[in-house]
Amino acid sequence: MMKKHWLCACLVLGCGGRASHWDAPFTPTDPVGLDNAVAVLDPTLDRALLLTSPGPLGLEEHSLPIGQNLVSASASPDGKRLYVLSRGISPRRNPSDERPRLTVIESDPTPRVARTYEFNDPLSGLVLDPENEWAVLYVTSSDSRPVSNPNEILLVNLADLERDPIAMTVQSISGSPQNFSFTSKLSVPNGDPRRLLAIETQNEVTLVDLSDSIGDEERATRQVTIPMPENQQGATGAPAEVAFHDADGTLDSELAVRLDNDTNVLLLPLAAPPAGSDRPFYIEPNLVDVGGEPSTIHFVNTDAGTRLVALVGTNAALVDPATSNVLNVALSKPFTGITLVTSDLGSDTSTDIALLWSNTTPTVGLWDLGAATTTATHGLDTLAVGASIRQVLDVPGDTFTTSKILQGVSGDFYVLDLAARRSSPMLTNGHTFQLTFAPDGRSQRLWAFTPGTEAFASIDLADLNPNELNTERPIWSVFDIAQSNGGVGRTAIVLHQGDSDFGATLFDALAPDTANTRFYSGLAYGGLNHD
Amino acid sequence: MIDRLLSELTRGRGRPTFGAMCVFAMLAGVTASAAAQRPPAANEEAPGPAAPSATPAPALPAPALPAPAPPAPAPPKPATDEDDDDRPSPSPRAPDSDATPVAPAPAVSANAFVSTPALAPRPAPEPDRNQVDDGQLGTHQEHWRLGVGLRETFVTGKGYDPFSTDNVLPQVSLDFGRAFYASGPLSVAALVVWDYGSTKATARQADASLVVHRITAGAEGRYHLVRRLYVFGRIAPGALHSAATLHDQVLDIDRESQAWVFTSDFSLGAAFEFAGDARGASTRPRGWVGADGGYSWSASSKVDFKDTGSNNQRPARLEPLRFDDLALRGAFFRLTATLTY
Repeated sequence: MMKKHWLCACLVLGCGGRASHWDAPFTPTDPVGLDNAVAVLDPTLDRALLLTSPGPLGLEEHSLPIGQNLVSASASPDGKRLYVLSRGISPRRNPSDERPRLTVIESDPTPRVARTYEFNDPLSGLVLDPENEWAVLYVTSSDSRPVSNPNEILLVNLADLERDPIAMTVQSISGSPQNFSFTSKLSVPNGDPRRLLAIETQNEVTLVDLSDSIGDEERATRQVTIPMPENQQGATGAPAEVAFHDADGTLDSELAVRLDNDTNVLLLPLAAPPAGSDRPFYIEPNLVDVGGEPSTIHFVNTDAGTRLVALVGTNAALVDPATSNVLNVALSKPFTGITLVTSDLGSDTSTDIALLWSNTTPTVGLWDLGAATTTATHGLDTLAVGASIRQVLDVPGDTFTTSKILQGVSGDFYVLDLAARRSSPMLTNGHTFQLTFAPDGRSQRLWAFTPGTEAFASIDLADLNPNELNTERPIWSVFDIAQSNGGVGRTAIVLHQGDSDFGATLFDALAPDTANTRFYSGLAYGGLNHD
Repeated sequence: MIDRLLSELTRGRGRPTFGAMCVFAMLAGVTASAAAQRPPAANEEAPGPAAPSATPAPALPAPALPAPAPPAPAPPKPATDEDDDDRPSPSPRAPDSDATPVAPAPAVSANAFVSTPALAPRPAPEPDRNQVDDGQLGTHQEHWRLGVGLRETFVTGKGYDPFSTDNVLPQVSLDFGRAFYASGPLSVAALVVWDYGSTKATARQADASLVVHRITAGAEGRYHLVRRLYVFGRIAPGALHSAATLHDQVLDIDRESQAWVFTSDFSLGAAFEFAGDARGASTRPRGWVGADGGYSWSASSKVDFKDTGSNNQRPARLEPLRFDDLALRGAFFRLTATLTY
């Protein structure tokens, strides 16, 4: 017996293996930028590596556990949190097998796991509320289970991490959730203002009350489902977009639904419920033909009151929600997108100003809706830009609110100054650059880069002068983060990817200079050594 | 044949060369067994007292009378018991048997006296005195030594993990020293030991390697249980040099980290003499095998991978890559083959 003990001791000493993480490859997913950190996920080791900058050109790594079998990771709109969804071990064979999980990581003041939610069923869809109050987990087509409920969703209250998730089944006759929209707080005839979750299925829109005043069970049972009408081809309509506006004294709060392949839009006013009902509102659908298939819809305040604007070809159809009357306004250009810039321009009028843009015409328009129905030009100023516009980006922060970044379909991009009505082109020689800002906009810089190349640019939004920069290894991604530990400086982290590793070149984000950098490599080993 | 070789080694050149000793080591086993099985040939000169030759040696002038035999000293006490060889002498400082060389008197036959009165007896060959056991510890105990061995250290520190898939650090050991003091069965030796070894593995698919040199100066206390077997304890402080290399997969260059740290071995062991004369005063080499084990302590060293210095592909202002401190300490054992002289 004693001999066996000695033999075992020798085997342990001599044949003791090393920790398995040294044999695990590094297979990263796309990094995620936060306000003061960059999250690089390391799914083979079920962890997230958060890179922070404690000082000028300094770098720290924090290894935080996430669930097994990573599904997705998203940053909160304010850049303060990282949400990581994982599938766990499926099927579970042992009680210790990990369940599906949502890990909430906060980066301020130091990165840490703030909460972990566990579920029974693997859900691979994650939608975050732009106002950071809710998250929705839902079933996607990648959730292959023998028997699944495609209408199963979980509502997570992000405003109160102590609360358990709310499980519910979306009321649907034949569809399953395809898209989710959170409204702002809307006044209702019977009760306190509340936010609604609009869930688009294949042929319906379901509204879920997000009010704090109702219980979770009531929330699940009081869903309102509105089936879509048939379109001109006789097929059941499919929702494509949901818009909303709050009550304005004369009109109830209202939602509108744009339909695929349909010239109609569906108005959904939140009317008063029948007498005796304790429901907060009652939906009275109203179908309005806007004269063509709209590319987008939006509620706006015009000189004639609240209107639903639907961009149809070279016209804008202004729909009066009260009467369903439609006023067509000729815009001269086929605009396909609309963004309200009223607050950005500091307008103190009750009417809106909208930025119109098009993915088919190299023109943008600034539309003063205060003159939409009364002047010959309908209040529209147009400005030619060099290319059709793929996307319009807001500049974060309060310094350059009148600046918009227009991403052209050709790869070029433009800095549009709404106040000066001026567009500054940034030519890219046909390369498709990725654009990124500091989430809080404090560096006042726009970073443009192309993954796989070594050159990138930093554009100071004050003078719009691009500063050409280079790294000594190909770029994976670029982030502009605040320094941690209360530092007032900012750091630009340029990530580089190796075979099974990654590194970073750090710049001073406020004064980027290729001669003032630091290069960090071997970052995939972070947290493996000193735990 | 062995005797001839040894005789050549000891008489012809004064000191045996290392090559000759190796030849001896190789031939010893073969010829010894062959000699044990094969009867001596008729014309083979047998060791021991010489018999008078029946044929006069033509080169020698024939004396008129047989030369008188030299006075025959008392023959040495024969080794009657093989166990005596394994028992340390109670007095290692006993008079050396070299003072009383063995020279057996030639036997003279009466018949030969009559028939060949003019022949002188052939001079007796000088006997191999190293074959005669003197019962002393002698060079069993006090000798120069040169050893080579294999050492395995079981390193359990986490800092070793990137460089090895297990906890074993294999090394080759070379040692050189002398047992310089003896008192009864106790003796003391001083030696210098060099352990060299390397290991490599992959760290997240990056090639990682570690080369270790350990140079120690040891003091060894011995106790001879028998002349051919002693146990010992050894303390060997010294210095350890580690050179770690990691292939940086982002930069595609090798990065290195080197350090010198203090180290010390504490071990117990035993050595057995498997080849060598029984005679303690023998000046011929001896072969030993030994084993020791114990604990090797080393100070921790920082592992900060830096660029290789000469590689112009490295980026500017490359920050060191820090791994866990490397602490090459742990239990070890070593098998050693030693030649003493």
